[in-house]
Amino acid sequence: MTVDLRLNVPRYASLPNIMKAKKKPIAEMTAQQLGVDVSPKVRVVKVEPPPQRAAGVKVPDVQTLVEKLHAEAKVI
Amino acid sequence: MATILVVAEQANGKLKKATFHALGAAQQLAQKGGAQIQAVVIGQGVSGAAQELSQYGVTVHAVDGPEFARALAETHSAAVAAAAKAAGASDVVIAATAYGKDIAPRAAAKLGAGLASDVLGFAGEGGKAWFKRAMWAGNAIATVEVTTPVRVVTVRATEFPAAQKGGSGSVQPLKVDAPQPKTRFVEFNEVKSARPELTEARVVVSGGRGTKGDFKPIEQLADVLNAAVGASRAVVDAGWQPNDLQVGQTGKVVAPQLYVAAGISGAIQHLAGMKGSKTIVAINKDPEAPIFQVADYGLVGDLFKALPEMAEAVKKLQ
Repeated sequence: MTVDLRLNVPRYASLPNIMKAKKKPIAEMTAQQLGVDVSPKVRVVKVEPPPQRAAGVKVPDVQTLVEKLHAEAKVI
Repeated sequence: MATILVVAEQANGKLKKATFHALGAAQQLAQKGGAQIQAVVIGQGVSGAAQELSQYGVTVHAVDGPEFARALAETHSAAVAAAAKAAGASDVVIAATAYGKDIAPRAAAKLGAGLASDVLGFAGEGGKAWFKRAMWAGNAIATVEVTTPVRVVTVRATEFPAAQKGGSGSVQPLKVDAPQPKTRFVEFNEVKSARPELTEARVVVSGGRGTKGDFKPIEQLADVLNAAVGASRAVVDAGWQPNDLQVGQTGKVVAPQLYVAAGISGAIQHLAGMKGSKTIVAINKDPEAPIFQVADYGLVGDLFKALPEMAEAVKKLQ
């Protein structure tokens, strides 16, 4: 099950429980013991910053905005 | 010759737009290594959709049957894997929609394939195609190589042009034994809206915290522009608008011709969902809001005054 972010309010661990958790044993096992293949199937070739959007212009009022959208950007 | 298999997405026998963008992506990928393209349509009563897709010059495998009527990941991913084997596909391309994200990992596991998700573009040559994908809320673009013989990729529909009709194709029925699913379809509640779908709209008008929950000016302008309505996370978290309007990293990724952000400050997570838009307009009271750094046109002002004014001005133009 995957859940939506807003499904519920998480229940946080209480301080006594956090203290108790420190004493619990943690069993470690390898992927081999579990019989699964975890060798990567994807290799990262490179990582680069995305192309930056140039900041545009500020318009003084709505009239100018609509005119520019119509005449310059041709989107309305 | 290598074969690329495109997985179509359909609802009620009608192909979703994202399918044609996935096909467009497959055409770009095919140019890298000289591959041929085939497609698979899965569902019940999909012969019409399969016919339509074949007009794009591809061989279409039609997996048709009552057991595939509902888009359950278990049955549909089995059909994808079967079609990939039947086609001898080296690459499986699926649009990164909710449907594609659901079935791609399962299909990849069944094929023993590596998976590259949310791909924005291709690099490299020949059989060694590399995939460019966004990481960290779009703050970095990683180029990855999938090292398995079969590769499954989900592509971001907004980054690839839709394929055009042309060429001759054919439809082949494909018999697939559906696995007994462990989930059962109960019901489907569709939110009916007169507005275009958010991810497919030519214009999107979005509101943020600055609306204080009053979306009337947003909707007014959206109606004039025949636009879809979007929202920032703050709005959805506050319960002012439903989840499915959220634009951003955890919401929908949109890339319309025109994106109007009103009362949205422009958190990086929101920008990740709309940076690909062709023209961005920002209307915000705060002149320092980061949204202005990505906006083509910025207007510092009160959205409750600016949006109705804009709606009026647009009406006059039409």
